[in-house]
Amino acid sequence: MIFRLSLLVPFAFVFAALLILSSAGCHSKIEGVRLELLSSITLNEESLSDSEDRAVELDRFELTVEMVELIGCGPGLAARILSPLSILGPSRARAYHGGPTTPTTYAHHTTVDLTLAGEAPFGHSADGESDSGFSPPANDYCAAFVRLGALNLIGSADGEGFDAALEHLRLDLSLELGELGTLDELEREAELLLEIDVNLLVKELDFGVLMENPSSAELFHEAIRRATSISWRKKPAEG
Amino acid sequence: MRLGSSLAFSGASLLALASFALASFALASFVLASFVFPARARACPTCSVGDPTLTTMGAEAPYKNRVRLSLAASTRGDRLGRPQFDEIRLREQRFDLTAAWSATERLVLSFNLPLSHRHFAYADLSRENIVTLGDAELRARVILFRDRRFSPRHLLSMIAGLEMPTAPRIDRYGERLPLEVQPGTGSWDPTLGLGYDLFRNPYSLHIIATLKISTPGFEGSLAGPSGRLLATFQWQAHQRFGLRAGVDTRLDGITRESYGEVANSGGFIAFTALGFVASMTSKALLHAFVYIPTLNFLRGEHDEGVAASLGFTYDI
Repeated sequence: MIFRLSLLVPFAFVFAALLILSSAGCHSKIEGVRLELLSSITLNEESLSDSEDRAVELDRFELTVEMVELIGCGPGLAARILSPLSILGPSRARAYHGGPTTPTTYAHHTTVDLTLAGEAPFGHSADGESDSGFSPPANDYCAAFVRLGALNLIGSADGEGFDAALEHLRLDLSLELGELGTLDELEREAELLLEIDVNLLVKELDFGVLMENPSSAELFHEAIRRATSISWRKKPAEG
Repeated sequence: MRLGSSLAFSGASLLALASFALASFALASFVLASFVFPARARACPTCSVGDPTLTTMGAEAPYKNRVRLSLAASTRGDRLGRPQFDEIRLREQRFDLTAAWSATERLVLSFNLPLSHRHFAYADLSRENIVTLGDAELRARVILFRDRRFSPRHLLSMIAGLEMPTAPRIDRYGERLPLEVQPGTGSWDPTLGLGYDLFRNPYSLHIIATLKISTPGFEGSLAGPSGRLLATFQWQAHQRFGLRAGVDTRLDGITRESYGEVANSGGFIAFTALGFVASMTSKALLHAFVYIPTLNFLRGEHDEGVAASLGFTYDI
């Protein structure tokens, strides 16, 4: 009997351990890489003029970014030669375009105020800092795919009022990074800046034509393409 | 924010480590106890069935009121998804506590309670450790045919089981992880199967074929039907030691979610199993196996790695 009991004690021990573990819900986590998204607006209000040199004043100029998708760099030349099939594939960046739920995509709608010079985090202040960035896969990134949505512009050109409210710009931008954007064990945090030069953007627009067709999204496309770029930088150390 | 996370990790890690140390200690002390307190010459299990074959849980010849307890520790690896995109690497350490009772000479009832430690490594370099219950299983084995009552050479049995949704759901960023890396399916999954055991001392053969049909689980997800064939040949080189070799194959149906078929699910995989069983006393058995993935035809981006198990079975 003693023998039997002595063997049952460890079993009871194990069973108790199982119960404790399951009820404790043991869980631990190490954060991964993180990429913060920011808008970076260049604006000199005093020298704002359109393509016809009309003096432009902006009361309101907002642009909604619907989605930012990172595009990983394609394999290097050596890897492409070693892999006979991939030699036929793209050489620069490999686009996935998997949609807003893919891990390389930041899909929070963000309204960028183009009348405020400087940098501002993506996301909505109401959500706190939680959605100002995301955790994409660790990789080397060469480009980003940016989908733009609504545009609101209220202002004047040579004193003549102008008001355009476009619900959908229907503009997708493929923007290449000047230098490699890396997220790995060593560089775990970085920032991606969506840079818009508002003076250049306005300079590319003909407000005379816009006033005649205030609902034509296409008139903005080329100007936004020329005035927009992206850059990557290491996240500055805190404090 | 980061500091908070790392502190939380330290605390939870310590708790997880302590708990696993406790479970490991229990397993070790159990094994040790069976050495320290050698069995007396009560009716030994192999004597009771008239065959000296050392059998692991589920392959034994039953006799009325035979009770077996087993504790097994195992480890395995799994990789799901595209590297540098949505890859999830899983390393699992698992304890299985099993009790089996032969209600009659033809009916064995068993209950298995798994506990697993899961280490997830994601494409964004985040890491997660989770200790959780798996899906508990009730199983009945009915002997359909035995060529003779005492010392049978052929045993044909039917297996009926039910996996219960005792495992919690594991989420990441508010999204449920794929079923393939969950500790359970969140569903009641019945299993049906057939088993055949051949005892020809010093050789024995154990074959089990099962089919698990899943019912809708987490948010209506439905794991595909899963067929498994396990065939093990044993050569008992010594009265107290046997070598084992066999195959463990699995054919999984495609998992379906609300949006459709899951790309990295389903397919076929075959493992080569090698191991041994050793009798420590007349009632205590130690067994260890290594499972080497030999044929991998799993669908999509899905690989399973080498698995290993170490178990201890005791007849009461």
